[in-house]
Amino acid sequence: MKKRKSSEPSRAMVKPEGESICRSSSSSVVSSNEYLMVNILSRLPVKALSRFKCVSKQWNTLISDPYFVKTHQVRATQDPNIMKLLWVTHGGLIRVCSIEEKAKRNVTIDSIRPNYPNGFLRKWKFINMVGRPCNGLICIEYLCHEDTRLILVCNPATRDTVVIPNGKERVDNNLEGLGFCSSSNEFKLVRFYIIPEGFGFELFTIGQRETRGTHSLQPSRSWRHVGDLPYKICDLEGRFMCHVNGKVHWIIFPLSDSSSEYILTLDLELEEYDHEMNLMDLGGELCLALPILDGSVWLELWVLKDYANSIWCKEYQINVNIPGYPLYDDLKIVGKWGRRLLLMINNMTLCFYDPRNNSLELIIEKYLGSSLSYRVAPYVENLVLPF
Amino acid sequence: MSSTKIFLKSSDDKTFEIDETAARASETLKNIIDGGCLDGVIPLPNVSSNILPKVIEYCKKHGGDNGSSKKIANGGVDKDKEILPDYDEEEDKREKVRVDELKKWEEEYMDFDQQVLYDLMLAANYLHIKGLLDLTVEKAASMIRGRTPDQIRENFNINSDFTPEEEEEMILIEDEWDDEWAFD
Repeated sequence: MKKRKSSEPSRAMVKPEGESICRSSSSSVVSSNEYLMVNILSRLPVKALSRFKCVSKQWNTLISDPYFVKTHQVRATQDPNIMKLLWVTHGGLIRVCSIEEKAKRNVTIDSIRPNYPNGFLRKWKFINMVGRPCNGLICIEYLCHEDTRLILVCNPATRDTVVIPNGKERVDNNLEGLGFCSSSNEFKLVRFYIIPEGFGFELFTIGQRETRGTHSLQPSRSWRHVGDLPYKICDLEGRFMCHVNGKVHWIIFPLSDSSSEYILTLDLELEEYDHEMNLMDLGGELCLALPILDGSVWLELWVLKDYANSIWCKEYQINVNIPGYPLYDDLKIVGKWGRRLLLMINNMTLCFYDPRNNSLELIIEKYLGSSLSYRVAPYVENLVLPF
Repeated sequence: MSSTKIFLKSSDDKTFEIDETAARASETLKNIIDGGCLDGVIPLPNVSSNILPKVIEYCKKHGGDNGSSKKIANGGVDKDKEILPDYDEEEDKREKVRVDELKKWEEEYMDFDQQVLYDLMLAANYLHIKGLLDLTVEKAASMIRGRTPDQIRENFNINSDFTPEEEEEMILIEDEWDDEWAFD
């Protein structure tokens, strides 16, 4: 790249005398300098780039090149003026709203029809976007009267569309989410499906690596079962699914106890899941419990001390060693008992935790009913009438 | 502040003077100065005498970047982060004035025809002046944004190398983009 930078401009400057020669040459020199052209073109909207593909074969190759696609994406992500608002109509059109902030605020709404297979919309009805757009791609679900369901992944800017094949027989009551794994440069579609013991989940990889030249979307693999999840998912419509940092997040709750909600984190590179924190009422204060699991600390409890200023304080750090209970066991905070906390381990053992001297006192060990799998909650008696 | 003078020679053998601090806005010149290879005049065989004063004007405005007036250099972005913990309204106002002033200067500075734009872009690229390169590239992008492929070919002196069949196919794809509608 550097060689070209220093050698090519000199060609134009060889004979700077004739005005007309100079006029055409400097723009030609720019257009033959790939570094500058990538720099200029990567600032253009997709619509202009699609149009410019027919300028010449060289431009077509440049605009379709994966390196250019990536450069353009990185720049577009950083430009607040390129940010748009997107929704999918029930009729299967994608609406894209641009809000320009330049001289005068200007709002335009484009309507985009994905490249559907022939007759597609006659069959499929009840169309919804699933989750949120992820790195420029969106996931849309289509239902038809016979309760069958289809998932489609689309780039609204280029209208490239791919129909995702259904996995096994499980098609109803699934929950999908689209994520991107930057280390492998692949999109991964995550699907949860109901099984008796919670949810199973599988992944479908949409690879961009195999598609050189044209960056159209081609499914490279099929669904792969990754694991089962002993949890329920709160938000079956996927409205709160959130893709951040190569990880997909959902709100879940354990099968045994729907009173405490966790945030499930699915790492798309490692294809492993973890639950990160749960929200609870701790003696009348809003509290977030974060499992740390770094070998010495079990849980951190953050309490919202000041609503007005949104100030969270780390109130407790539970790092006791309990003989017979490894750190990775399921630890729940049941409630606050004076200055102590009541903890439950593995839904079987209740104990008091005293933060002042970091000690544990067993209350019920290995409860006889095999597990305290019912909802356990602190309670205070009083005389208030229920009517 | 140092006021050592540097002399630059354009491709058509004209010599221009610039302060060392201003010259440091260019990575290329900075390396030459720091490398100690300063032997009187620095020849710039890729920059002509009608473009070089324009480049020097930009460097003069931004030359102190690495030293005293860092605030102007980054359009105030870095500065914003710095003052966040201890928000100072007065400082914020002054910052806004500086940014507005710089924008106005850039607007006037960039008022030239397309011919100069591409020459200036090549000079900025050759001399590694990132701010000037960004400015010229951004302007070029906004100029070609709404053009047709024919206008682009004319602009960049390109001959279409598609066969008539291929071209027809490309135009078909292109037409599809026009069946969208927009409203305010």
